[in-house]
Amino acid sequence: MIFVLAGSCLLLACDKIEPPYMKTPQGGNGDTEVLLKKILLEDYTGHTCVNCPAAAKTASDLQQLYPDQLVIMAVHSGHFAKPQGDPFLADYRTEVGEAWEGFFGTAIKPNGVINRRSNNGNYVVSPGNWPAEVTALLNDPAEIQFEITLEYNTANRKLDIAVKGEFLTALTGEYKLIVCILEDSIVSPQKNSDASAGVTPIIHDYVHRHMLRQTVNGIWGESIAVQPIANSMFETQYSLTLNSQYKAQHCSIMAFVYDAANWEIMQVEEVVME
Amino acid sequence: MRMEKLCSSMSFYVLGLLYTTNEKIRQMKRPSLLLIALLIVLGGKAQDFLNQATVNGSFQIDAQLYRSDAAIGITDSSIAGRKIGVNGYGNIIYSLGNFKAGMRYEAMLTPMLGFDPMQEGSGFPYLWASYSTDFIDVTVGNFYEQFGNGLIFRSYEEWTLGYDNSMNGMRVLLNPSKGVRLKAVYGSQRFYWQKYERNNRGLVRGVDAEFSFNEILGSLEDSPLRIIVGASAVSRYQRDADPIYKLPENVGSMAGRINIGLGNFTLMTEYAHKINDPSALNNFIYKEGHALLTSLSYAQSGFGVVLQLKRVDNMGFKSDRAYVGNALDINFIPPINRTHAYSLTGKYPYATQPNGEMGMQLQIHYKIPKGSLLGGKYGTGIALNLSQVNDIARNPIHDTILIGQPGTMGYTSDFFKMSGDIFFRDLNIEIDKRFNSKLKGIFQYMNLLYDIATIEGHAGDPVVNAHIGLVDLTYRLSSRKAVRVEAQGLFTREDKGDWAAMMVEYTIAPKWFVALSDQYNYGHPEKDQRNHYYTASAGFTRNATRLALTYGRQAEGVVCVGGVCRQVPASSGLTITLTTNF
Repeated sequence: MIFVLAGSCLLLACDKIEPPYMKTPQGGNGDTEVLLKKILLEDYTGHTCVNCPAAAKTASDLQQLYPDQLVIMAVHSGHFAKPQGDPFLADYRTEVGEAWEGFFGTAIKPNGVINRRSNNGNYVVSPGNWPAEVTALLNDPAEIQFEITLEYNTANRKLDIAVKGEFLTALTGEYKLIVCILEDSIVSPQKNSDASAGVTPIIHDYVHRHMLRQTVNGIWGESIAVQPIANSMFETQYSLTLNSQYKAQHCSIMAFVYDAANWEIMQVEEVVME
Repeated sequence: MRMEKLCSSMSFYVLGLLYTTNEKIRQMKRPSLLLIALLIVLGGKAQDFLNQATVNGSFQIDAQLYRSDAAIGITDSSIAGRKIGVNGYGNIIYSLGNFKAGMRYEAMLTPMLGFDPMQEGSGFPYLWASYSTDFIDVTVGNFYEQFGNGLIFRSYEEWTLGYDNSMNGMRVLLNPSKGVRLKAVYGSQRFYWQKYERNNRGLVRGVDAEFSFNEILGSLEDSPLRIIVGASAVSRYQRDADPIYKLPENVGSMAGRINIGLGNFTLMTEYAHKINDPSALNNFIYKEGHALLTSLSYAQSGFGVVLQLKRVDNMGFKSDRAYVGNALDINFIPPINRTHAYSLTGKYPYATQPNGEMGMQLQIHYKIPKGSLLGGKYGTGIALNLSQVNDIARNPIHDTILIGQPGTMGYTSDFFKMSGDIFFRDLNIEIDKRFNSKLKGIFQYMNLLYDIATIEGHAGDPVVNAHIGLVDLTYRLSSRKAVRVEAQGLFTREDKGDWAAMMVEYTIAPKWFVALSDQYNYGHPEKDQRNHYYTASAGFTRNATRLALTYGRQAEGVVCVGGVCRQVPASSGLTITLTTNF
């Protein structure tokens, strides 16, 4: 009798969802007075990863929901990003992407890392969890704010980057800054198994978005503060010649500050070059 | 093994298992006042605790030492600096009367190549205690359990896959009367080393009831007609924190099964249903899921036939709807195809497709009698096996909605209609023949169709059609010594082309073996990839301890157990396996 009751309870404890299945977009929290932390979603991907277009679409859908708070970086790395037989001849891997992949354990794709937050040592977040994980961070107040200013000479491709910011509260530990160059809208073949994300099995004119091209200050960046007090400032500058392979009009400079003790990202900003 | 032989620290730890929860055990770095008090309170009983208990267990260590091997694409960067991978566990079970407790320690430091990087870590992922009588069996902590064939619930562990979806919670088994077995479970599932925390994954609750009518109705106990009926229900709770989709927080599933035996015939069938469960696995569609598994068999001395049918539609069921990897499965879709043990016949194993498949398998075994023309002096065994799995037929729910489009019902599917897309087909015949008192052989032919794009995710790659043949001869040199030779050939124009394999094994029973083998991918479309994958192995067994060493190359491939698979990358180096049990 008890088991019949228990079984009945389990069957009754079912949530049948009726259409429409989509929620009404709530948008971000940009109207709050409190400065909020932005979120970096690192999409570890590769052109022969058949499930990666669907993951990229999930990231894109999220950015449409939270355009002011969510920054996306697509890191092409590992086995699925290797050049393979025609038409997958391009090599979008980077030294820094390979190093991050090894460190954060993102070899299985698609997978992501969100603000480099660790759960018991696990940094990897599967794409199905990106919406919930991003949403959970939307109301975190910022402890650091900064801005990126650029000067770009189209004639000689000289790029000057300045990052200037402030610690809003006193913090313990060491904080580091990483500055990245991302390139958007790179058209290149991509394997795909999800018809709702594009043609299958190969999208020959796939538009790769937010692709990590390089960092300008190394794999793990550089220290900007140790035990910063409230309202202390930091400023760094970089000069480089933009790689001729990059289309400047599609590039952006993305920078993030992280806690050197646990790699968790404290704040992220992105500025489009042109 | 009697308890007296164990050191006192061991009994102390087992006591800890009795009276503390898993978390407390994790925190128990040194003897606590509570345990000391318990020891005192137990007083005179402590002697029984030591003298009348039994302990058994097993240990295994698999270690690989990698070396770069440019010919097969292994470089220092692909090894990622980790030149040694070690997977190890120890399993210990303590029994005292109706009470049992156990633990399993695991250390993957670092995991061997091909295992998920999330497995890196060490600790006690499996701790449990149980008390059982004829009427009730209660388990707290971790446990494995299965309802019916597992269509809506199965928790299990498979070391070779690095798979473990053990439950962490409570289980009650009841036998209220003869022939009636009831089960109830609830808890969270193991997700590598990630501890369950509120809302970081779902919870699983389930009940199962099984009635054996021959036992319930005493008058039928000797009847040739045997009937067992079972039913189960499982529900997953996971919070909806998704900003895009309205997700069901409680997803229910139910299943019913019946086994009928009459004489030499046995019919087994189970049907399962699951309500809307939009997930990353099904691309967030809201369609309900169905699964049907049926098996009809006939067996008599020297002859047996089994016919199995299966239909699966949208039955992926995980305790984290967002996860798509090989973990957190609540249910298990049994494969209905032959599991091949040889290297080339097993090169293209089938992985179950929970989003949709329709399959059948026919197995026929016949032993040609001794003394007949074909049976010869010792008789001849013949086994015919045919299995095929197709996709299910899917129709769009509307002209403007793609099949499987997220945020919709996904598709409609006629229960009795299957797609023309064949995922897998295996037709194989095996002859098992003893020629004389010294020589026996196994001969096998296999015709294979393998949709590598679907099964291994190699989108765009053509279907593999292969012919595979093998000869396995064993010649007994003496009562203890034997030589076994395997020769195999795999012939295909697709994927990596043709393969040949050879293996010679010399055994000195019961302790020693040495073996040399080579797999040669002589038909690879790219000439510079026509590699030899040679190995040299040796093993030693003493009582319940076995040590095996293998040096050489391992070809890239797929390992599947029960339709669940993992990719194995190519590797080169030394593999050591040590197992022991007591």
